[in-house]
Amino acid sequence: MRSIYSLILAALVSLTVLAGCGGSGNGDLSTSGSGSQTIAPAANNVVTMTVNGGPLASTAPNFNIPYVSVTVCAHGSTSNCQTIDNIQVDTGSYGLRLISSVVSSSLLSGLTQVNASTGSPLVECTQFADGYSWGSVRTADVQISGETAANVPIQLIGDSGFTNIPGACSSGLTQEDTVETFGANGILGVGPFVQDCSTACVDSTTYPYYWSCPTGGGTCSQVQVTLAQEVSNPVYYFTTDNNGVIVELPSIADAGAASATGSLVFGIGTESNNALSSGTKVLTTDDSGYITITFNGTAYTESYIDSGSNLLYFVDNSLTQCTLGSGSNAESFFCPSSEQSLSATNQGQNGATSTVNFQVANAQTQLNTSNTAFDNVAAPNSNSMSFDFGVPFFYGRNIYVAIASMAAGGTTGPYFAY
Amino acid sequence: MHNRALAICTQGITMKLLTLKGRTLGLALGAALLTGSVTVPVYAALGGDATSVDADVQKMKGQARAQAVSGYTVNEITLPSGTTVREYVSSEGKVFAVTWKGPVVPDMQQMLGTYFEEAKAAAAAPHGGHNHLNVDHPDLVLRSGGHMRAWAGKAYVPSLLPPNFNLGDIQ
Repeated sequence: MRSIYSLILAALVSLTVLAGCGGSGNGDLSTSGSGSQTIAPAANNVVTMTVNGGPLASTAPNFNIPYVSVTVCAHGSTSNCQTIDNIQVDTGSYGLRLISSVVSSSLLSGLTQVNASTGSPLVECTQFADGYSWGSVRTADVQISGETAANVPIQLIGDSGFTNIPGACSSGLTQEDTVETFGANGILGVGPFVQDCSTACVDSTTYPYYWSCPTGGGTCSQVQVTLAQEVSNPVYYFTTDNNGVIVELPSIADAGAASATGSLVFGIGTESNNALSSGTKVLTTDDSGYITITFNGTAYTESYIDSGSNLLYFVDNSLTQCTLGSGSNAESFFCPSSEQSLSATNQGQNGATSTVNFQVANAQTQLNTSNTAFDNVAAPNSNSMSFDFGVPFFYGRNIYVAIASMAAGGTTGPYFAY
Repeated sequence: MHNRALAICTQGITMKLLTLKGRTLGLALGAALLTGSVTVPVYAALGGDATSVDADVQKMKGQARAQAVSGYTVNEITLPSGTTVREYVSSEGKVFAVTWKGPVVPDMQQMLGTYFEEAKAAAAAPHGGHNHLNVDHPDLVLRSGGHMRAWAGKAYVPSLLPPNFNLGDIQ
């Protein structure tokens, strides 16, 4: 039953995409007054993006995680290349990070190690909300669709040369250096900024990000770096279409979908397929990537839109919560007895506002299926000042993410638009 | 564990202690705010005995002002990274909740103390993506989330909450 249901839903999703019209009318999340959605078909600046169970679909399937394929080459080489699938698309981070175990030995040896000012290899501790990823900084040519970022710093997570992880890194909950622990073959950070640490890691070592690690082992020490050494959003390094991305996922049914296929488009206002339409709301962010979202009468000033959040996360003391899973897995979601229709007003730092409707269904009912795409699953947030429109917000809507200081369709980033 | 805690306390010399005086925390309704000069237990771990670090504070010549609110005290510390840590100490001297917000996730081992391994195991269990972690155990509730350079989280021990405590006051 599971597979037939999945196939039917997959077919429906495919048809929706082929028709090029998700249509906001049947979506759970719709912008007031917005028109129908067009998902860009294949092009030089378009890569197919899929929400599915991910690389661990048979054992620990993910949901609401969009993936793309990325081709990585040794700098300057057209032969020492590898196309890697199941790379998570994350607008909440900056830079390409690959799990080293999926990288071929020839490519591994072809990716130039970036050295710290000490002359020793530069290794990074990447912090996430649930853990950390540790691995060397290398340079690579990154190809996605027809776009190439030449000689861009990436992180090689979990490479075997650097196993002496500093305590300031390993104190960050769980180690996520394998496909099994990371849930993806890598992550593509295409958020609204360029470098992962920006000037903070140039000016001081107060962020525990960058480390100088002696070749062959030994104790790593924290180092300051240059901006050019930091792991960076590859889009910024493209020769064209380098001012941002558009994340395009189709509308899905209330019950969810077995998978969802859309497009990740490069550039904003640079090609015929990435223009800002007249009805698009441009919401600029501050230096932390924040906008203000007003919900239930409260203005949440540390809010954002994020493809790396697989749920909607917000504060609501009236929605029924439930704890799903048991033992270590036990975690809270919102589980109203019937689907709730809600609305919020998003406001950019530029004052532009947009009211959006969204729905929250019973997470237990939704997640008790084999579907991997849901536009109506939500959970309590970690930050009482924040509302996070995660992946459920993206279905049926093209989300523009413009990079800081880059002109994009008449407005300079950083901004979100839809 | 004990040695590790001491080492971190030593690092804490560089910590900037901020006063909460005058800040609006939205704390307990109608509570009388008792602001005074008290010894702040620097970076005590969740579930820990706040008085146990007083010696460290004296060693560091650390002194700061904290805010006492109807049965508990909130200490706020700003780390060199700019991340702000708050700890909620009950009248019995136990840290019943901690929060953090800022560009860097603080040392979670130091923040969570004896609850670190439990949180770590929960983080290792399958969940979607890396920008959020919700843990709901009988003895530990944790919310961690955000995006690169903008993280926030909180953790508390339900059994240590003061009587009639409003969970919304953990901010």
